[in-house]
Amino acid sequence: MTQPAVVTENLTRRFGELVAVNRIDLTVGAGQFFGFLGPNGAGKSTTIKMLTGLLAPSSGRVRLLGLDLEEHPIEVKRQIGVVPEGLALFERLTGAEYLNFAGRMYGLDRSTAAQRTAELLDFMQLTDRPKTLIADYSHGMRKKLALAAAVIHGPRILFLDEPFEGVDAIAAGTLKAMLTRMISRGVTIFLTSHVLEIVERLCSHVAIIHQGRLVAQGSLEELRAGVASSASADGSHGVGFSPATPGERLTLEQIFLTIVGQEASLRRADEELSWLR
Amino acid sequence: MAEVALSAGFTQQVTLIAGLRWRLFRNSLRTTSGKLDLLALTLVSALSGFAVAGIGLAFAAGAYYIVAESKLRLLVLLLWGIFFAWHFLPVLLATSTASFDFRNLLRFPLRFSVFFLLSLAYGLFDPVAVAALFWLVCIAVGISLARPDLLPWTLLIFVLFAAMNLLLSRMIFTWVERLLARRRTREAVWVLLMLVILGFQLSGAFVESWSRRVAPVALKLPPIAGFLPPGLVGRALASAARGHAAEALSCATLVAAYGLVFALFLRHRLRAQYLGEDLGESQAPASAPAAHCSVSSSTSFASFSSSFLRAPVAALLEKELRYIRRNSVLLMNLALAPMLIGFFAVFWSRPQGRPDLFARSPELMFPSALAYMFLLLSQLGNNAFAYEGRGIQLLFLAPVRFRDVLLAKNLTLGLIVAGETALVWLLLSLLLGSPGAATVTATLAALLFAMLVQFTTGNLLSLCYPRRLEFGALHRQRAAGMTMLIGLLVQIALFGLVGTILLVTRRFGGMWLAAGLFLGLSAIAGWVYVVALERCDHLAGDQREVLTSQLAR
Repeated sequence: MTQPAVVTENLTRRFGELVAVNRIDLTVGAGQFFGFLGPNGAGKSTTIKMLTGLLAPSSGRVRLLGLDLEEHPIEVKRQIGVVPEGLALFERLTGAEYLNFAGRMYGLDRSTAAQRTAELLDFMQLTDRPKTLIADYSHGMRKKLALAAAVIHGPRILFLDEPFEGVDAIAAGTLKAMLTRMISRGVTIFLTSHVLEIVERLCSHVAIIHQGRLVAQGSLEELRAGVASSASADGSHGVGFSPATPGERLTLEQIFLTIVGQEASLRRADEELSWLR
Repeated sequence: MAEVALSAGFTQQVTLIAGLRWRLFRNSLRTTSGKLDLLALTLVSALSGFAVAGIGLAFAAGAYYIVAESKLRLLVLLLWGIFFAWHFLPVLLATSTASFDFRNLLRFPLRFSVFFLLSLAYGLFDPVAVAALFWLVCIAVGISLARPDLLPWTLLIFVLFAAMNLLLSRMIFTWVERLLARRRTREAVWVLLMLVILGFQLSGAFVESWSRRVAPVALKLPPIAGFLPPGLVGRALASAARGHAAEALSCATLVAAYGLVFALFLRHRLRAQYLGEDLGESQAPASAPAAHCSVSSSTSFASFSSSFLRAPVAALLEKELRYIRRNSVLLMNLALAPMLIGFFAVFWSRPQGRPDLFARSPELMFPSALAYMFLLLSQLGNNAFAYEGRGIQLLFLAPVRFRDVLLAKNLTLGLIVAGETALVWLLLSLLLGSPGAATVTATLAALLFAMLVQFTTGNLLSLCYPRRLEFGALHRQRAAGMTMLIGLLVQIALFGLVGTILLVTRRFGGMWLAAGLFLGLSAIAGWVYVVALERCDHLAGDQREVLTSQLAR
């Protein structure tokens, strides 16, 4: 039987009184394109930081590819790639220098790092301005470079925190092309995103976190079935979208809103903030 | 219909910003590290305060003596002292001022007058400016005690002098920051600086060879200095003391005119910033030909580092050197020690300029110069992650032990110290004569011991009290309060220990004994360093949140 790529047990993180992530049990199968969703402040980034070793859990365990992250941090880090929230870029290097540096930090020898750097820059269409420092890169260029750095060593799991945020359609296309290629080669991708359409199109499995708790997990079909059965049990179809007709497929957005709730969207802007023009 | 908000007035904006600063300060005290920072800053200020107060007392006594003895022409010496301190010390102590960048406020409808005032206010609260103002007050007290009737004149002239100095210091910083921000002007400044140094060295020989021709020019210098601000202030006070009010007033007016000129230059610079000037590196044009993107990794140093070091350490070392090369302010700090040592060596190498102490004992110069160099460079290791920014995340994400990261940083600083030590030795040997083998060995052993201690404490401080510094910025830079305090205490302890050993061994066995003792101490310090480096691996894991939150903002 194939080893799961990511397993968490009772993963918890507290910041003083606030419980940002509360006893999460998560399982991501090897080779899955996994979407990790949740409203703002739900605990997505905190979870991804704990999964990648950027943040220590208050309690609970993380196992990646069968290895305990706390006990084998170096071995685990060799096999994962991460595009974190802050992108982890050294802004006073050029793109090529940064990729080369990242490759060698992951243990590649000098010539391999240089060769992969050239290939990745070419694939990401970042070869136009070789002497430009990252500090002068646009947001989309930074995202592409961060992804290139995360994959330069050929990771078996890739963690992406909001990779499509603030990225134009062209750059998003490049990113998606790379991710699709990686999935076809058996890499596990763990992705958080607010762009539900992209998640729906790319991901095979999804988990939803709300107020620090895991409220749903499974394949898209399993989630659809779960929402439909709970709706028919209480006679509702969720709030704010058209009643589902027999045979109609719920979109991920509908599933998300049903599970997380949508109080905010029910507010009527015309009754509030009347001074806005 | 909604009303459009009226823009806030000058006073309201200043009040709002003062309130903002106060709230930021109050909120910073919510955390333990914020409280520790304040405590440490208070202690550092108290320690520095003793030195400032002592100098102030000397200034007051000197001013009293000069006025009481009617030697008013000497007053100008004190004023030149303050003038130099105000404008040169901030360059030497560029890491001790506030870290709030008020340019962030430009997204609000901030008036230019408020922006200008803020710039001056930050200049006024610079520690060196505060010290210089205190010394001016001390001189005023000394003058007034000797001649109470001079108090109104002293106040008027000193207020003008202080305002002029404030404007000049701000003008220098904004312009230097501008010049160092771009590659072309930065290179021009470096070339100019080198030419000045070279010119100074050549002028030494020139003065000796052509002293007869140069002498008349040199004699004209004091009258020229009389028209520079400190000279004018001295003349104004001397004239007031003699009852020549018109002359005093005209000198004071000239000081004010200097201030006005500096204000205009400062305004020009600040106006550009106010209008959104970008001080970043100029970008290569988008249409530039697509070059192959391989990194220039085939340099001899890169090959050298790769053959001796593990891949991540070599990569980190190369990255550190790239960062240093691109940080003009840091480069200036690194160049400062050999430049100043070279300057003084040239001065002392001339027969007429050599003080007796160094003339009799040239061997004293080598240890003194290295001690001075250590003083300047060692602080860099105390906040080693200052320029990493968000890149710090990669250091935690990569499969690299943090001891390797620290090792690479220590190696970088060690290489710089070694290079500058060689340069200093070469300079002194050429200009003053080579120091003896015993002195050289003892000094190098002492330096090795001091550096190992410095690396150990610096690594711990860098992990426990990290502080992000702006890359290439001349001002708005300060390490954490605890870093400054502990760094200062370590330096005092090191200098005390090394000084005591040198004194004792001089009496009992000479420099070879000192060398032996320092080598023994270095062995102990080396063992402690290795043990501490191993512990730092765990400490970095515990401190990763502090590091990322402080540096990856």
